[in-house]
Amino acid sequence: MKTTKEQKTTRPSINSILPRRGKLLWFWLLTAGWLSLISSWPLLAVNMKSENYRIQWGNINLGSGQPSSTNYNLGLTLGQIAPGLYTGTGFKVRAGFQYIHSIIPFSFQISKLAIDLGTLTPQTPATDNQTLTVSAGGAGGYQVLAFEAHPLRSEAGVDISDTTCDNGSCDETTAGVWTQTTTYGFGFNISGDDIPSDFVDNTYFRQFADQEAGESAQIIMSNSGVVKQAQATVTFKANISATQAAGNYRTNIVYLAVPSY
Amino acid sequence: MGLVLGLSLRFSLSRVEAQTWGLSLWPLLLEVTIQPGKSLTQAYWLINQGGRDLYLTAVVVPFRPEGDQGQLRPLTLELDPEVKKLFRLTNSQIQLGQSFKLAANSRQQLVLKITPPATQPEGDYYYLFLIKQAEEGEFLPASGGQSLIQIGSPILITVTRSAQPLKQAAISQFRAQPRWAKRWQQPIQFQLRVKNIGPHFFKPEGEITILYWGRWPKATLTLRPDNILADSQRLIGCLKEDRPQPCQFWSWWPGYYQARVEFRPDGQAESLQVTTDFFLLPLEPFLGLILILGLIKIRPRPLKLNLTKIGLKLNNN
Repeated sequence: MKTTKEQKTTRPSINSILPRRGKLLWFWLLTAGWLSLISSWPLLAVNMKSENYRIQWGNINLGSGQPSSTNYNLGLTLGQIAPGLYTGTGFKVRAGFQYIHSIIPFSFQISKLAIDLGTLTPQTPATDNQTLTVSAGGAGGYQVLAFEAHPLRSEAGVDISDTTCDNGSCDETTAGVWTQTTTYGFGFNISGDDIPSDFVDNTYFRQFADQEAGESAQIIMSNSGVVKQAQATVTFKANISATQAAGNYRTNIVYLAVPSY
Repeated sequence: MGLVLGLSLRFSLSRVEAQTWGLSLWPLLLEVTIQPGKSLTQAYWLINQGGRDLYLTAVVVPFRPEGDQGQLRPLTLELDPEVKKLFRLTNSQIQLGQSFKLAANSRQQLVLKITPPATQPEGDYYYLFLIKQAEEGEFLPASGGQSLIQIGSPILITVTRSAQPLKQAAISQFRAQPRWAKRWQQPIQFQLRVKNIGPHFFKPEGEITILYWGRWPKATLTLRPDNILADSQRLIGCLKEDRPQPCQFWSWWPGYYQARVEFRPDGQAESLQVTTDFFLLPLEPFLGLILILGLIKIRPRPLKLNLTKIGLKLNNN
C-alpha cells in the first residue's frame, strides 16, 4: 500500500486570498476607518469656567510644584503632552505651562519721584536729576513720552515760563544750548541710552510739552528693538530773574512709557 | 504616551531697591480679530517694582499711529464714555477709571473684557490699556514737583464679520543705499517702507532676495513682520535667526546686483513685488592693484654700459 506523506493543512493566507489591488484598498479602508473613529472621540480639553470666572492655562497633570533650594527655584509640571516650541509661517506656539516664565513684561522705572530744585536764587540755575530705566521684550521696541502738567507755578498762580534757551533756540520739540545765567525759565536735558539726537551734550535743553497749553507730549526715549535696562538721566533746570515773585514753584512731570505696536 | 517632565529654573530675583519706583505690565501688545457682539477676555499682569505703595487708575484710551517706526500718539489720556461701551474690567474690586492701591513689590491681575456692540461698524480700532499713577500730595517745601508714571499696552482690534478681513498694502519706498558702494566692506542698507491702504492692520510676510547680475541668488533677507496699521506706513526691518537686524548686504564679489522684495500682507494670496539695483565696486582693491602693477612696470632696469660709445675698447689681442 502506498502511503502518502501527511500533508500539512495550512490556512489560506491573506496574500493568496486578496489580489494586490485589493490589499491596497483594504489598507486604506482600515486607515480611514480608524481615523474617523479617533476623530469622533470627544476632545478632553480642560476648560474650567463659570459665569463669573474662567481658569486660564488650565491643565490636569500628574504632578506640579515649586521645589526650591538656597540658590534655585524650580517650576515643575509633570505629565503635559507634547510641550515645546512650534513654529509656522508668521507664528510661533510656546506649548506648555512652564512657558509662562518666558513672558517678558514691559517695565519702566524712575530713580525717584520727587524733583527737588531747592530754593531758587536769581541768576543761579538750580538743577536736579533722575534716572529712567526701560526694559522692553517686544520686538517692536518702545517709546517714552514726557510732558508737564503746566509751567512751574507758585501757590499764588505765578509761573516760571518754560525756557526757550539762549537765543530763543529751543522749544518742546527741539533742544538748544542753555548756558547763560541771564537766560531764565524751566527745562530739561537728557543723556544716556535711546535719547533724541538733538540733545548733543549736557548744555542742550528743551522745555517740557505743556499739557495745559495743549502741547503734545514728546518722545524723550525710544528704540525700535528689544532692550533690557536702557537708562537715561533727566536733568531738570530752573533759572529765575531778580523780578520773579517769591514763592515755591511746582509742577508735575508725567512720563508715559509704551511698547511699540 | 510617555511621561513628559516640564521643568524651568527660576533664579531668585533680587528685590528692587527701595529708592526706585516703577511699574511693569504684561502683555506688551494685544491683537484681536472679533465679530460684533462677541466678547474676548484678556488678563493683564501689573507689577509694582518699587518699595512704595502706588495709587493707580486703569483706563483705556484711543491712539493713532505716528511716524513710521511703530510709534503711537494717544488721542487723550482720559477715559471716554464711548470707550466704556467696549471695555470693562471684570475684577470685583477694580473698575476702569477708579483708583486702586498696588502695594510695594506686589502684583495685580487686571482682567479686561472687550465686547464690541452688535452694531459696531466693521473696521480697525486702536486703543491703549493705560495704567496711570495718581498724584500724591507729598510735596517738598521748596520748588520742584512730582514725577508721575504712566505705562500702557497697545490693543489692536479688527471688528469684522468675515473670517478673512481684507488686507491691502502698497510699497511706498524700496531702495538700496548707497546705490554705488565704493568703499571696501561698505554694507548696502535697504530701506523698505510699506503702506497700509486697506481697512485692517497686517504684518508683511516675505523676504528680500539679492541677485548677482540679476540672475544668481546671493542672499535672502527675511522681513520682520511688524504690524502696519490702517492709514499708516512703516519702515520694515529684517530678521536673522528670529532676531531683529537691519536689512543690509555685503559681498566680496564686485559687480551689479539686483534686490527684489516680495511679501504678502498676513500671508494672503496676492503678493507685492518691487526690484531695485545697486553696484559693489570698491575702489581700494582696484587702486591697490593699479599701484602694484604700476610699481612692477616702472621698476628701475639694470644699468647696461655701452663700452663702444664711451670710447673704450676691449683689447682682444
